[in-house]
Amino acid sequence: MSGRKKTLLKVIILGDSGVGKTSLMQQFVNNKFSHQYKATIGADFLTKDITLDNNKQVTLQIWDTAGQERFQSLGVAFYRGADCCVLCYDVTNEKSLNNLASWKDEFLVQSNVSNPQDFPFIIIGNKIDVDENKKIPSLQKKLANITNNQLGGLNYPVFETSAKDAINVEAAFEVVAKMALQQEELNDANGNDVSDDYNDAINIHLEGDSAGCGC
Amino acid sequence: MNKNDSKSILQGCLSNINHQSHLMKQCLNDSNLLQALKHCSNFLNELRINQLSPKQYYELYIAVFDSLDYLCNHLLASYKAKHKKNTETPFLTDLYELVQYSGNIVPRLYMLIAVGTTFISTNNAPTEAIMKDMIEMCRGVQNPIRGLFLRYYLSQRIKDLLPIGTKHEFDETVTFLINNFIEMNKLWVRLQHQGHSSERELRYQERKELKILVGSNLVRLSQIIDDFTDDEYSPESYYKDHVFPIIIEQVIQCKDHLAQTYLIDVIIQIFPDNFHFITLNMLLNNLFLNLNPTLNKSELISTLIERFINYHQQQQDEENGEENEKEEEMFTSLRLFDEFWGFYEKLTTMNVPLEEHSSILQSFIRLSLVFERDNYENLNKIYKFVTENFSSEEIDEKIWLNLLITPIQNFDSISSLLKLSFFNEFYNRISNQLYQKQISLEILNKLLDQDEIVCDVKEIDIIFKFLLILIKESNELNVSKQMGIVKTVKIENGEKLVTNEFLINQSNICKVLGKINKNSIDLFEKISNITYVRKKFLNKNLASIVYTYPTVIQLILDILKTIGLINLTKSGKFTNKLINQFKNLSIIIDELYEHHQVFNSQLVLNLYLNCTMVADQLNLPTITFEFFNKCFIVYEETLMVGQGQGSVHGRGINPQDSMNHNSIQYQSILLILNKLNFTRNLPREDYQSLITKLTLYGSKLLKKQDQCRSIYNCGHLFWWTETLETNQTIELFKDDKRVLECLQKSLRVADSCIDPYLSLKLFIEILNKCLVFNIHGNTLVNDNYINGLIELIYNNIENLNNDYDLKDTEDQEYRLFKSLEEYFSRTLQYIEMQKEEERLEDIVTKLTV
Repeated sequence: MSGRKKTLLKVIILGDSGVGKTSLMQQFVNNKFSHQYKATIGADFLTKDITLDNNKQVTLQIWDTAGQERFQSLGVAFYRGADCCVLCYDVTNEKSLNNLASWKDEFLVQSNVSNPQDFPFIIIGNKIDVDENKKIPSLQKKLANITNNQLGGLNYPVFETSAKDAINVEAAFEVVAKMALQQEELNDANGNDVSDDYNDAINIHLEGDSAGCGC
Repeated sequence: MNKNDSKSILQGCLSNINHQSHLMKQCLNDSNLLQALKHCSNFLNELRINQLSPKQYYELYIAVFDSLDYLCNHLLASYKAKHKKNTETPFLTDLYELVQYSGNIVPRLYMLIAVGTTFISTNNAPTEAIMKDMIEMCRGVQNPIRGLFLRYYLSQRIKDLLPIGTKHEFDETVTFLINNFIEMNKLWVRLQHQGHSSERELRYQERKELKILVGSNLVRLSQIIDDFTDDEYSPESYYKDHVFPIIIEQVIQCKDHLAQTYLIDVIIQIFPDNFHFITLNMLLNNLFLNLNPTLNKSELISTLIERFINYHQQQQDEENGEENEKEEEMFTSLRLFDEFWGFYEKLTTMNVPLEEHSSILQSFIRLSLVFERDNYENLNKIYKFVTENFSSEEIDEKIWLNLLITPIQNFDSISSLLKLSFFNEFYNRISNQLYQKQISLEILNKLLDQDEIVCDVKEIDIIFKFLLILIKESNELNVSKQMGIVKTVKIENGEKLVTNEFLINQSNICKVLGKINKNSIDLFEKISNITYVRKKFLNKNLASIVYTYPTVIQLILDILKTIGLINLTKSGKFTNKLINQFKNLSIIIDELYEHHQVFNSQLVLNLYLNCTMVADQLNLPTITFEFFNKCFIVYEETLMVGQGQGSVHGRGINPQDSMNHNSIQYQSILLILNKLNFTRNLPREDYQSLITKLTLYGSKLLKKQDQCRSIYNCGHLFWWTETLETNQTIELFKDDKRVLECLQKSLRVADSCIDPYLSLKLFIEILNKCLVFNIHGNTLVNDNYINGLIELIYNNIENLNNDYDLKDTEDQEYRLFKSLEEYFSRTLQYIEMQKEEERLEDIVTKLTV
């Protein structure tokens, strides 16, 4: 009865206020989109069961977080045990793009993951449905600057999505799930929950970023 | 208790939870449910701890949550397996009873909720009864932190299971959530009053951390109201009638500062805009007016208004769905501003701090600017209110400053803003010069953004009244005070310092001048506008007119030129009109000259000269003549005696150099000469008197080389070679005798130089002039004359050559001599070339000795 338990994968979505974290999650989990902006208060999750290519059943527990600091008063204890982290920006908001690195750093500091070097991140640029003239000028170049920067760069798979028009959302989360699963298996191999504290982290290089860019 | 203690306690708790939950999992895998529940109860016991901060407690909660999740998944799987065999399995019902035998209330209730919600998730449970039971049981925990987390757990577990299939279910669910919210709010507020009063600040901090737990209920409410669908259901009115009143009653009644601030923030943030539009009146008048009197409302108002503004901008961005149009209609009819204003009038009867007034009104201005762009009355209302209700002493000007600046930055038409009577009145009450200047600069920048400033005299008055402070600004710095702090520019021979900023402001004022009615076709009116600005404003600070008058003069001159060229064929009355304009222009230049002759005479000279050119082109000989006379006056009064421009002093002057670094007098003569040379419409006698006078000036210069060069250049004035304008038929002024006289005179001067090299240089320069006149048909400067000059030069060179026995290439004099020789031979080459082209005839370039 307990042998074929579904794997629970914990995913954290981070990014500046208003980039569309909640919308992405809502679109992925409930196929819904609302024009109304509602700030996220605190952190909460939605779950969704999906089946990966290899017929593997997983449950994604996706944590949507508050971009505004004043709505995150209890801290970020829920980062613990995360298997993948999604860094979001808004393609019309340059500041949100530039803040990706600090969100990543904040996550690594707070989450206490065993393999900060190889922890799976993914970058999602949301709102590609908007008019071209509203987008960040020479976005691809700036994005490349950020992702290719060898010094502490964010060399992660990038997806450009529209939560509003459901473009690329599914594809992005599929990659999220695969990466999270890989991380989860890595953690299992390193020892299970109880002995967590006594285990030295063993860095095993993942086989590159097989996911690639979805755009 | 110190931090490290609580940290180690936390670590202890966490590892115990880990350990017990590991044991629980093992028991579950061994199908030993009872033992598993015991371990579960064990780790849940950790949540009974008191010594941890809310953040630390949250860490325990997260760990517990994950472990309970494991249990729930396991129970659900077991249930499903049993359910397959027997659809009536009492497994979870029994379990729901069973866990209630747990000894301590906190573990008991967590397990109750875990099992209860699992049961509900089977879709086979008496959902309503379980929900009611769970929420009732939660009352059993009255310790605020534990109670809050327990209820948070309930709300987190049940959020995806809340029944909203029917209207009844929906109502029940809403009641459930509101109930949970009310209870959590009570626990949260009560926490403030626990413990010793010295710990009040600590309690406050803890409550701040806990706030999101309370807010989460409202988030769920918002979600549920969105999700429910029914034929007769309208989310907005449901919210308005059944949710909003209950929530705000709680908010008002708790009287708690933190709770009110936070909850209103949350209400504004998580419910959609249209909900706020329809409840706005109640929100403002029922809620905001009844809050804790010490609470600052400005921030809440600003949050609300910013939300509306974002909404409005988003609407404008999209503007594609019909749905949007409907909403747009809804709030224009609502008259947002009036709604807020009505509220504000009530608010002012209460004791509200000044800063509050300022920021509230600033939000109102933003609101009005976004929603009713063209409604100036709203702003006037605000300014009127401030002027009437706050005495000058009360006004801390700095906090009111933004009330004036924000609209300047956002308004399309600056002049319509400045016309608001109370804007002016309010502005006048700002007495701090710095603030006035800040406002002026904002206005100036705004004006610069515009391509054209369309205005009549009245509007000019309005605009420049605000710029006057910049015009009047003194350009003198207190040097000792400012030195090293502000970047400065030296002016007036380094005797004065001005800041870059000052110069930029002056130049910006000039740019504004250029924009006044820029595209208007009423040219005379344009002139009168500019003259008006000068008369009424610019000359209020005579020290600074040197920065603005040149622009004024040039602008007027350009317009006059246009007017004149368009109407070139007209005469009589029109000409008189034009002449009058020139006379007025002359007055302006005179004024500039009067006040700035010491350092800026050459500038004035140039302005006069520009006028002569335009006047001549428009065929106004009397004016042209007058302006040339003005030039002569400037020359005689200041430039001739070496005044009028500072920068030449102290620079080394090379007498050999005919182009640069010459005396200011020589430069001035050349400037005038150039313009005279292009004058074509003066009567012969006038022209003759002017050029004679100028030549005379030249002959009186101090230095031989300046004299010589002035005179031979003046020769050109007596020998016109072209008409300059193609379709003009005027008799060319040619006086061969006077040309020859000039050349003779300059030769004499050159010959009288003591320096033989300078003498030689001047001879060669004169030779070049002679060639020009010869080529252009002056028969008195004939071949013989030129040949004589060439011979003279050869002789001079030979004399000098004899001085050089040693051909020392390092010797400066020798090098100078060589360069003169080269100059001469280039001239001879030129003669040969001209001969080949048959423009020169019998000039002998070889030495004939």
